[in-house]
Amino acid sequence: MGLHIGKYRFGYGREQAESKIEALGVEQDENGNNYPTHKHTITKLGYEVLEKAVYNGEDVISETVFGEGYLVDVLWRDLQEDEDGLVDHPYGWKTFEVDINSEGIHGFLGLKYQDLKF
Amino acid sequence: MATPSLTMIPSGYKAQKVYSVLPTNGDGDFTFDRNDAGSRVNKNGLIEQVATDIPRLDYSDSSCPSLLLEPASTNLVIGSAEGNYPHLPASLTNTISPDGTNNAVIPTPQYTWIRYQEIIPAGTYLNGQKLTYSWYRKRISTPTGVSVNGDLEVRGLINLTSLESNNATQIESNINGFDRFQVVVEIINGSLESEFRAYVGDVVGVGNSSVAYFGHQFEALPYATSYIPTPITGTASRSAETFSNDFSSQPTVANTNTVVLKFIPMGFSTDFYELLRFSDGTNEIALEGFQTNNYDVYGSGLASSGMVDGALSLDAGSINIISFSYSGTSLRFSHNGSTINTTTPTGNLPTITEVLNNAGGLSPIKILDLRVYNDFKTQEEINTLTTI
Repeated sequence: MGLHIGKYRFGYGREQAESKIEALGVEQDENGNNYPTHKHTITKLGYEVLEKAVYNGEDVISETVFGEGYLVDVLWRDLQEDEDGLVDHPYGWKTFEVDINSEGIHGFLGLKYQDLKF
Repeated sequence: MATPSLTMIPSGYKAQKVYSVLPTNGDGDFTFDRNDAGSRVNKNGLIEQVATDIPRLDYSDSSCPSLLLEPASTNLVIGSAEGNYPHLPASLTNTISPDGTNNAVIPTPQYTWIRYQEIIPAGTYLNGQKLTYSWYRKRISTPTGVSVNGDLEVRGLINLTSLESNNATQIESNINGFDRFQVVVEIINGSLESEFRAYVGDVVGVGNSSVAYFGHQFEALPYATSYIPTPITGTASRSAETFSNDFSSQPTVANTNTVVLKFIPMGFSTDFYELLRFSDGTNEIALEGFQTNNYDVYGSGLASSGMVDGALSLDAGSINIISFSYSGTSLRFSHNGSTINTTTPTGNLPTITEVLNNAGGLSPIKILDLRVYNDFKTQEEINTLTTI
């Protein structure tokens, strides 16, 4: 079993992220529900927050300001090794990778991004 | 009564494997996986984390464990042990929590409007998306303010509708002295920002410290899943769990089998998501969610519509036993000691070669006992087998 964690920012927003996720494999069951055909765990974090909202008691002083980048974390499972025994992002994902020096704003339970990043 | 050919009572396990009691040669063992850790209530009644691929034998319902299977979920609350306040209470005192450490919080509010709060950015979800906020609560003394279920008053929601009729619903009891509650809310307009609020101030009473809270969880599902602890720096996810066995040679035989399943349904996300499927690879019988507390026994390739079409009433969170017994020409169903249907199948389920919870959308279930008998039983026999 091989686990890797990747953090990604899609500059063209949610649709771009969704198309990449769908390309990993999605099928529909007999009841019309979509489900992934792969074993990876994908967490959509939404649009990046540029400024947090400010409150004064019950009142909102200023609302949250969001950027255009859509953030996605992926826990990759059992990616195929290349001929050199190395594992890399699936095709088309590396371009969107964000490499950070902390655990970031989201994690997968019991796992460390710093231990499992590419 | 004949001896079952397959008996899975959650007890023995290792990484990626749940052992069956019968058959003893290993053919009835189940494959399990989960990409990351998960939490469970252990034998001592405390919440603990188990590692990647370790099945969760959960003791939250009794001294006998159940096999807990859940879909993926993300806890959107940053710093879940304490929860998020838009304005800090006058003081915060730590106390022992359901995980046995000193990280539950007793807030002392200085205003009635001191509250927990979560914001959902505009454009994150579609109209009608359901989310569930859950928390653990322990009374240190009787609160002096408003009396509401769960000791957090859910009000002042922005762009959200609460689907609870009585403020909150209790979903777990006495986890190290704490009870767990949930509130299901629905987004009115997904293109707008939404705000969830749960007030402490007027419940506890200004200047009082009568209630401890812990384990705040906000997730995009219409029910609460097991606790996903998050650090103070971010949110956290738990991966989906899958559970299956492909026993093409054993332990079922052609045309005459009886399946008995003791389980706890825990809710579902969308109509007809499966809790468990029994299949020969083509035809199948599956237990599926239909609508709140209404389930369906679906017979793909066996009937033109569901065997029990959206009419099987199961209370989420309670123990149920269902059974189906089939020959090549007849199907009998029983639930909690009562006949629920007898039908002539239009197709055939010659030999069960798969029992699985790994296809489609996945729904949460706790399995307490699963048995397969290699015979076609009378209605009276299966009613006896399903009597709780």
